Amino acid sequence: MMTELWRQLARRRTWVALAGTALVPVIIAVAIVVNDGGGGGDGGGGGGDPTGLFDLATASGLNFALVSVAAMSGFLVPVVVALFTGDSVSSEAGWGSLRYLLARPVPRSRLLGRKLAVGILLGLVAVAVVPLSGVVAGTIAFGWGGVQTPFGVLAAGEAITRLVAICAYVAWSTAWVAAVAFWLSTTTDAPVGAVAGTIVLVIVVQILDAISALGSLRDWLPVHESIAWLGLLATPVRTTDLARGILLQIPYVTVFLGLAFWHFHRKDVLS
Amino acid sequence: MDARSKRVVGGVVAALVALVVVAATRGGPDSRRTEQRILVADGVELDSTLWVPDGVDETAPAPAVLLAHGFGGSKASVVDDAVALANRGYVVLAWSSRGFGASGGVVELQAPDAEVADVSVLVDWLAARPEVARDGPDDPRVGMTGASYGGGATLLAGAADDRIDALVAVSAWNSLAASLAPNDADADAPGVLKLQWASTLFAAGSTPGGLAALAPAPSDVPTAATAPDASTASPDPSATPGDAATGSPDSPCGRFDPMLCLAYAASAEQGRLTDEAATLLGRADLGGRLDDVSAPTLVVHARGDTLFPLSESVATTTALAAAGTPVHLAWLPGGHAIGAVAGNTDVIRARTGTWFDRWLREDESVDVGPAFTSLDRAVGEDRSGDDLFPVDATTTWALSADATLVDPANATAGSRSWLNPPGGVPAALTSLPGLGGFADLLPPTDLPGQHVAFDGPVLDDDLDVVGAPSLDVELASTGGEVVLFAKVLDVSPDGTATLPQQAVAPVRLADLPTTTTITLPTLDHRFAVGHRVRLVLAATDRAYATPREPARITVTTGTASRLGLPTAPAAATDQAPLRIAVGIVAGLALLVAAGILLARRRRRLQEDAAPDPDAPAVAIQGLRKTYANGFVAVDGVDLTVEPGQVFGLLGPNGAGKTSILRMVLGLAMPTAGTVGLLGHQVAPGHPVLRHVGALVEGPGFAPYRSGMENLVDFWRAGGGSMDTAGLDRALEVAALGEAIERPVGTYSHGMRQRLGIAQALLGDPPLLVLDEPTDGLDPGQIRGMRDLLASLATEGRTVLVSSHLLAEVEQVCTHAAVLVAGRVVAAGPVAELGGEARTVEVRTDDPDAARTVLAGIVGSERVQRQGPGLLVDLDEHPMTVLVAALVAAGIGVRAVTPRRRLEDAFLRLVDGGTR
Repeated sequence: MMTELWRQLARRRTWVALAGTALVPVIIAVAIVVNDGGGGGDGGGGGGDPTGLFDLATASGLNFALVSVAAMSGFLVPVVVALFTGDSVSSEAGWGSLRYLLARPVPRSRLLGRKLAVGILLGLVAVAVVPLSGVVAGTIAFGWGGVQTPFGVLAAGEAITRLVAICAYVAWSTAWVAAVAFWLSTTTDAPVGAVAGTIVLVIVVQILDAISALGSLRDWLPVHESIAWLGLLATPVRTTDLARGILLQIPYVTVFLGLAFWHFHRKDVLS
Repeated sequence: MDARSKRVVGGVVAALVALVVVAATRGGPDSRRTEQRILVADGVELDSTLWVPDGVDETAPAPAVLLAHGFGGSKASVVDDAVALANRGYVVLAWSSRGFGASGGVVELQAPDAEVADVSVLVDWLAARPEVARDGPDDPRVGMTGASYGGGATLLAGAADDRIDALVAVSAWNSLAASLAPNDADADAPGVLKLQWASTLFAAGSTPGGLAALAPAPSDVPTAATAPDASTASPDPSATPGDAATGSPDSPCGRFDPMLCLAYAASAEQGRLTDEAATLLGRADLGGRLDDVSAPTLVVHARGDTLFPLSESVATTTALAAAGTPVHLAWLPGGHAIGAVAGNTDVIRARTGTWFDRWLREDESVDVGPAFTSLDRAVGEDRSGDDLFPVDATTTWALSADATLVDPANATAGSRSWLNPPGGVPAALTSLPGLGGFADLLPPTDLPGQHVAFDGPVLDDDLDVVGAPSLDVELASTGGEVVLFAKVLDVSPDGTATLPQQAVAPVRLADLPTTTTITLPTLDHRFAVGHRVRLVLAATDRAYATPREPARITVTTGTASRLGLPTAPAAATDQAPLRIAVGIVAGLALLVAAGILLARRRRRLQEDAAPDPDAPAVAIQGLRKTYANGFVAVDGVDLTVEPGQVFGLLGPNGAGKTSILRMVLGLAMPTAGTVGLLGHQVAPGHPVLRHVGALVEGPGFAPYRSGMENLVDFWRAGGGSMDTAGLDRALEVAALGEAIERPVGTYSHGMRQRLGIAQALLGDPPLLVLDEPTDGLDPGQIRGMRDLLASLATEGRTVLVSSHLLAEVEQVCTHAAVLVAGRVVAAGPVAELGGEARTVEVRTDDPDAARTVLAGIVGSERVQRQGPGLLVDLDEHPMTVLVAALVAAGIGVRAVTPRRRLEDAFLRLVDGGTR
């Protein structure tokens, strides 16, 4: 377990991905500061902001962290999670080291479990990096304070609790991505195939979710409740969608992780 | 500016004004509009406008719609609605009701023999129009719609005249008397006068053009709010000069029927409806009349209507449903001025249009939606259903003496009391008539001492209250008659209380003490999780006329004092996924548990996987491997490798060597047959693999890790401690020197191969499985490898090695099997495989002479010429004898090379196998 963790931590791609994740809030913060300094500012939330949070980005560091999470939870976080989980088995297969690991006296499921655990752990780190970087960059740029939400104002302490809960929800919302990526990872020797395949799937599902003609079918897409964490900003917390979003992941995670383990358990390791 | 310029400017202005006037008065781009006065009764003419859509005439008649206006309005206030309906293809007749606009007569509040009878005359009039489709002589195909006063007119006319084929009633009353003076403890007893509304309405009725608020138009709202202050005695003559009043504008009664006027005056003075007023208002009561309505009816109501409360729409709907009339009910946000809420007007027009399309055009393909809809609730999603009231449960709490609402079993008996202030002032503020959509902004203010409040528990889940809560209480008073206002508030976690729908239930009780059941206002409200329900009983409400005598009113608490809240199921669509998800979670947990148990059991079975010294190191039986694409790589192989053997798997590329080794290591699953390792039948990840070192199909290492790190990772991944790894020996074999600390990505092929062999040697395994170990090594390293394998064998290790190079096997192995196309074609000790006979190749200076000499010793048939040399079958003759004979004959011997039969066998076998 620790071996696998160190193995992943020693990889440059791990650090590049985490650093990239951390960098995005900084870039957003710099962009906002520079724009305001130039007397710009379009004054409106624009059409790309379904949450109404972006107008509040500059209210405080915590606010900005929230905005960072909002901005990145839709796509960047799934991509990074897909990278960490989609790459973990397929890269070993690609190097040819997988067959040696599997010729060890260790059940395949245990090996797979460790790979998965480390992939998930790194995914969680990536999710945690977003608000941390956001808080730091935001506090430097806009100062410390409570959070202004579309629903009201939260004191700093309460806001931090909510932020942690939001991150937990965002992380869980990408569980299906991790499961799909991991499954693909066990089926291919090419890490790029597993990661890119997952990302394409994420995009397709997000597009499907945006097609209103699909009606209630969309309710069952794994991304359908992906912004339900907004309910965590309300007082009291709006739990209906949250609960649905949490439960919605379970069938997908079950099916795809089940497929991953089932497939990996019986596959001939030819790579 | 000269005179000519002035004329030009004046002309332009006049033209613009004319354009504006034309634009304002035209009915619409594609309908013809005619105005006419229709005589309905002795001396009473109604001012009306008829819209006929383009394309509709006597050859292509269309259904008609009667469009009634709200209180204080006129036919002018419904022009937009008329145009919308005309654009939909309906002939539309709008008129000013008696006492309004330019019509004659006085306001009689929808009396059966006045306003209601007028509608029948209008139906007659429509029946005579050639553009209007007919069901029969004197029976046009006609629907009717209107809001508020017009909504009441619609229902009453529908009940009175069965020629009307479809109804849409918006913001209508069920009982006008009960709406203006409700008593929610006893509907038949005198009620509490809704003084603010009544005076607002009276002012509107007596002021020409005064109150258009009851027509659905947001711009009318300010008028409504200020109307009570407008002088009823001196209407502004400039307001609507076209609407010449036929009543007497100078009288305080305006255009009201003098009887009504007097009754209102008396009621306002007494603070309750006089019997006379009740009788007059009762003429417009719908109770009991709806049985006669056969026309399909759409009832639209605003949830926050404080004039005709939401319960009025429920009473109308349930009565119609009971009579078997098709009826739909739609609830919208806002107050009585339903159009004040943005979006409502569009929704109403759309619903009205589809309703008439369905029932006037009898187009069954039109979807009129579910029977019940409630849109844009303050909290929570829209609700709809085919049942009118999707309510299936009641939450019951009891009033407890500590001012809480608790489970009835836990209620403390006692009492709470409050005061009616002398004169009835100051009074609580809950609503303002006509404020419409803005009413939500009003915080309810209850005055200290003048009310009691009972707070429910903090809700642990959303509570959807749909319908009328009921309150069973015992009340007492120090005065005689008691008026109180019961209401249900929503208290948010920060303590802010809001009054859902601004709805209060006024109660007047004459004989106290008494036990009574109060019907609280009909709600469609979600009390969100974390909020509380608060029940308030208050003495005063500014909107109502309340008693002036001071009194202390007491309510008894305890188990019998109960509040019952009708609750809707938490949206059925949310429940199903929840159950499914719970099922999935349970199933998942079961699967995981089963998996863990199975794994435990298997591990226990495999725990004792120590090598069995007596068993064969490798025992392969009946092994077959068919890949998914149908290729048979291994086709029934039996092999046994005893401990201490160096066993060679020899075969050309593609013979199945690597497939066998993969199955030996548990990497691939045999299609049939078994593999035993050191006495254990192998399976993926079997513990016996701890005692096996392997190199299959070339080495595989993480390129970014150093050689050393890769070895350590590998060993740890198998759960071993570095103490048992035998790392020094492995490093010695790898012979990588300093390079061992460099990333493997920088290694040459040979370096990786050596690292792979070093990896196989980790842990000092008794069995080594090596696939093409010399691949990529240079000659010196190949020799080193050969020496290594030899020394491993002398240490008592078993080695299973595959190769496609005969020489390698011949030089290294003690035993070998020759594989061709997935089958073993020969197996045994290398010496045996070579056969008993031994052959040498002899090269001499003089092959012919040598041949003669040698033939003399072994026989001529055993000597063959081959190229420059001779092949000699030694048979039983020692080699030394032959060489000595050659030397003795003076023939120079250049070389004597043993020629092994294995090569012959191999080539022959391979040829035979592949041919």
